[in-house]
Amino acid sequence: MSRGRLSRRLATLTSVGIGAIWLLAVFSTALVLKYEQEELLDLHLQESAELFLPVLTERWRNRESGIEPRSDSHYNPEEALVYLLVDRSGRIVLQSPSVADADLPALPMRHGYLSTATHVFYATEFNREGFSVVYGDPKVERRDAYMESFVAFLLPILALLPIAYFIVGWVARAGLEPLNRLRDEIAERGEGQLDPIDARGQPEELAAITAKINGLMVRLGQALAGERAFATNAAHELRTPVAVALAQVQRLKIEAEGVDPERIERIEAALQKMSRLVARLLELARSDAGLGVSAEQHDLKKLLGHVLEDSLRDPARAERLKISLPDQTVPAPIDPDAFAILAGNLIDNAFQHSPAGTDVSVALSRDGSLRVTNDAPRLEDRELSGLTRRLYRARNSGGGFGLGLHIADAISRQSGGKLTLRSPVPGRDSGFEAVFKAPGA
Amino acid sequence: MRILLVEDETDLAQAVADHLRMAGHAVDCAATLDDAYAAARTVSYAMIVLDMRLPDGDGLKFLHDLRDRRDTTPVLIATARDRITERIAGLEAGADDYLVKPYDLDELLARVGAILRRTESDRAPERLFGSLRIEPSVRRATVDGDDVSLTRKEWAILDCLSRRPGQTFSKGELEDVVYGFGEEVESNAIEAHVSRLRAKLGKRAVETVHGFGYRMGQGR
Repeated sequence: MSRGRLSRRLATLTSVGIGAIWLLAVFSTALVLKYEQEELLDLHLQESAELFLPVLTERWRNRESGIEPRSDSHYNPEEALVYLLVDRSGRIVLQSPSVADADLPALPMRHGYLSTATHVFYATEFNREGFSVVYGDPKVERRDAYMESFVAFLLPILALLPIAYFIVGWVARAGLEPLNRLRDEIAERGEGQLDPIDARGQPEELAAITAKINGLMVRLGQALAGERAFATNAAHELRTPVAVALAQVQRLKIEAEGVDPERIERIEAALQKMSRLVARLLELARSDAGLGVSAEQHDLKKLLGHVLEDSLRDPARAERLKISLPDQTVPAPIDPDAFAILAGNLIDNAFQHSPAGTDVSVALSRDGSLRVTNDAPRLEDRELSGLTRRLYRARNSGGGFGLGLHIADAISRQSGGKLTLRSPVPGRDSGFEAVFKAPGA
Repeated sequence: MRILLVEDETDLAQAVADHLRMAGHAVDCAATLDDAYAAARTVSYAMIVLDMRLPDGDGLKFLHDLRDRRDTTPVLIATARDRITERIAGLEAGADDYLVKPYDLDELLARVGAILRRTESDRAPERLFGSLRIEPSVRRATVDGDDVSLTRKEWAILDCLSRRPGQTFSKGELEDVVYGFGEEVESNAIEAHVSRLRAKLGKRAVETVHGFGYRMGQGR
C-alpha cells in the first residue's frame, strides 16, 4: 500500500467521522433549539392574547354603542395574525380579516393552547364581560424561523469539512512518517543487502514489525548463503565424478579390445550430454541463489572476451562467429559470473538453433548492450513468449535442455538489466535476436 | 617432455596420465599440494597440469608461489571451478591456460601440446612463418633472407603475435604490450602499426580476426 493511499484513507475516514459527529451535534442542537423556540413563541402568543383581550373587549363595547364602525377591516396590526373574540357560548363576536385562510379550532375552545393544521392557537380565560380571545400564530412563520436558524448552524460546518479533510490529511502524513521511513529501509534491502533495519526511534507497533522483518532477513540471508554454498560445492561434487567417468571411458575406447567401440561411444556421448546438463543446472542453481547485481563496475568487454574464447577455440564455431567489440572498456554494475553465464547462454543458444554453416554474430556496444543474432527460421510470437519458460523447448530444439534462455532471463532480471528476444531480426525476414541491456546502461 | 600432474582424484589422474604418456610425455603424479611442492623443487618440469581443489590446500596458492619464485614453468589449470571469475583469477595468477572439468582427454592433450610448442618456440632461436624468419634473441626479422627494419613498437607487436601463433590478440592486449603503463595511446595506433608491418613483411603476415583483433599469419 502506498503512502498516498494510506494517509488519504485515514484523512477520508477521519473527516467522515468528524462530519457525522458534527451533524449529530447540529441535529440535537436544532431539536433543543426548536423546543426552546416553541416555548418562547407560545409564551409570546399567550402574552399577546391576554394583552389583546381588553383591547378587543373595549372595541366590541364601542361598536355596540355605535362609536366605531362595525367593520374591523382597517384595524390590521399584523396581516398574518388570526384573532377571534368569542363569548361563553362560542359565538364569534369579533374576528380578524385573515380568519378565512386559517384552519380554526372548534369553538368554544377551552383555555390554553391548541394546534390546528395552519396555526397554533391560545384561548384566554373569560373576562368579567364574558369574553375570551382566541389568538393564533401561523405555523409557517415558526417553521421558517426554525429553518433559518438550522441552516445558520449547518452552513459554516459544511464549509469547515474540506478544511478539516486537509488538516487531517496533513496530520495523517506526519503521523505515518515512521512508516514511510520503514518502507524506505525495506526498499533498500535486496540481493546484496540483508543487514538488520535499525529499530531505534520507531513507534512500538513498527518496532515489533521491524523485529519480525529482521528475523526473516537473517533467515533469508542464511538460506541464500546456503544456496550459494551449495551452488559452489556442487560444481566440484557434480563435475568431478563426470570427469572421472568421461576420462575412464575415453581411455577404455583406446585400450579395450573385443568391446564394441560403438557402445563405448554411446556411453561417452551420454556422459558429454550429462556434463552439459550439469553445467546448465549449476548455472540454474546460481541464478536461483540470486546471482546478478554488483556494487562494483566490471568491464563487459573483457568478460565477453573470456566467454568468446571457448567458441573461438572450437573450429566448428570459430569460422561462423562474427564478433564486434568497441575499442573502449564497457563498465557496468553487474556480477561478472552472472554476465558470463548470461552471455554464454545467449551464444550457445544462437549456435544451437541456427542452420549449419550460417553466421552467429555477437556485438557489444559502448552503452553496454550485448546483441546476439543468428539465422534461425522465423519464430511465431507465441513461441517467442514461451522461450524464457523453464524447460521450454522450441521446435527443432536441437537437443537443448530448455534452460539456457530461462537462466539468461532470470539473471537479466536479477541484475537489473533487460533482455529482449525478437524474431525475425529487425530489418530481415528471418533470424533470432537476443539483446541484453546491462544495468546502468 | 616431463609433465607434473597435480590431481587428487586418482581415477582421473590415472586416465589423464595414461593419455599423456600415450602421446609420448613422461608424467609424474602428485595427489597433494605437499607432493606437488616437493616434486616441483626437485625436478624441472616442461609443464604442470594443476587441479585447484586439493585435500591440503588451494592450487591457486601453489601457482602464486611458483610465480613468486620467478619459476616460469607453464601451468595448465584443470579444475571443476567453472566460474569466469575463477578462470580470470587463475589466468591472472600466471596460468597459461584454463580447462574446466569434465574435459575430453584429447582436448587436454591438444592444450598441453599447444603450450609446449609455444614455450619451445619462445626458447627457439628462430620462428618460421613461410618466408618470414624471426630471430628473437637478436631482434631480427628477415623475409626471403632480406633484413627488414622494424621500429620498437612494430617489433613488440610482431614478437607478441609470433610467440603464440594461432592465438588471437585484441587491440587492447596489443596496446598493453606496446605501450607502458600510463603512456598515452592514440586511437587507431595499433591499426597503424599493423598496416606498416604488413607493408614491410607482406599482406598476409598479420591476419585480422574481424571485430576482435589480430593473429600471426604467414610471410610473403
